[in-house]
Amino acid sequence: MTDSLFNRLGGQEAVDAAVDIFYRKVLADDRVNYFFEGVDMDKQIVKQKGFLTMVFGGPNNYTGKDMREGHKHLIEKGLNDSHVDAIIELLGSTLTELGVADADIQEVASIANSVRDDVLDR
Amino acid sequence: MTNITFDEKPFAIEDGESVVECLERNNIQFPSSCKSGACQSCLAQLTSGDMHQDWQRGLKDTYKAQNYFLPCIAKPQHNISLQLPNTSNTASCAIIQELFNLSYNVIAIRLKVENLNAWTPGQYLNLINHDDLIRSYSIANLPSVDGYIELHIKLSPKGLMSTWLKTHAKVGTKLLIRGPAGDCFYNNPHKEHFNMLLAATGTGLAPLIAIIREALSQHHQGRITLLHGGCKEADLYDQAYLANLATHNKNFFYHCCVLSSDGNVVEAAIDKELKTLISEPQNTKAYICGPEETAKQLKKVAFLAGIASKNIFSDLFIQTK
Repeated sequence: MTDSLFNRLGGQEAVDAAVDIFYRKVLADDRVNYFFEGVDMDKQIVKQKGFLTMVFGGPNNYTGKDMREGHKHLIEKGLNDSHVDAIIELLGSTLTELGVADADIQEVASIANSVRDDVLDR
Repeated sequence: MTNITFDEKPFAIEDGESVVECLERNNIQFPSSCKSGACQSCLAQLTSGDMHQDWQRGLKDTYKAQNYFLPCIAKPQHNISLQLPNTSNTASCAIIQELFNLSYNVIAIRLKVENLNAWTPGQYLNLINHDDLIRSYSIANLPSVDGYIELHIKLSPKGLMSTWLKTHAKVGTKLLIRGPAGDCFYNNPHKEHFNMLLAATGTGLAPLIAIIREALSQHHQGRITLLHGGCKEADLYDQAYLANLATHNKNFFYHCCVLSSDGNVVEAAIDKELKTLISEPQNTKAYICGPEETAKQLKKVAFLAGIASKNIFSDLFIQTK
């Protein structure tokens, strides 16, 4: 039996370990951090955990509709492909920092890419 | 048969079913989204029955200590009861036993209540007057030690409760209180050694004083550093008390700063000043209170300086519109 991506990455514990590193990178990155101005960190950390669980291939029930609804207000602020690219890049560097294998990082990036059109509402 | 009780009604839960699934099958409206324990939309409080640690996955320690859990991943084998956060209906009587000024725009009230142990220092409660006006205030002292609950109330010209307190309340006035709730309190059951960094502006100081006193009373090991900020020097209060507390406790350090100083206090923006006080972020818990925008900014500063998100505890004071 081949182990799932989520288990290979380390499951829920990996999400917990990654979330702070990832969100610090996001807040420090001028390409994307203005989308997070004035948001409450606690609520955002919970959302980021949900996002990481999904892109790590973990149990989730997110639908395309959730992704569209959740990002509509950001599209009005100019959210586009370049920002999705930046987030996927930061996700990759987070996982590199945690010692995740390149092949697994690619798999995470492709899951993240699969919701691009929903996030950008197209 | 295993029952879950919600809103005083029992529901039989089927084998392998989560609490959320059971309630939805019975057409009960219950908040939920991810159904996998990630989004915390369904956060609820266990009011009776045994907790299973898996149901509290990813919650902060302060939430765990209050029996919060995630009903979407909870599959109970024994009867339980649950309620949504802050929906407890029981209010207690409180009588004002003292009222005094702390500064030009802050008053303290001391309330006599039954059951002093129920009021956790630093958490907030709802104060209800006889016109059914409700506002939240943080517990500023150790009720079970002092024999009363102390609240710090900022007087604002348009504030209905603070105006009412200023003009109508006096010693002997009866009020109702409900609660307590909130994430910001001292929780160290295993006597761990960590540094505490507490920051607030205005009456955000109130819960922090309670947390500091609680930590000191439990002989907290590790540094306790308080930063209180304001626009001008007159916005600071309890300075003599805090300076004295620092003199008598060698692990407690008191700092303050204001945007516009008369020369007696450091002139600095509180977020800049906070940054200079963070030394061992991996071993630090931060407690942040005050008006919403400032508190959000301070949390971000603490997080970016390396303090783990699970170690940042806060109450945002949201102004009633």
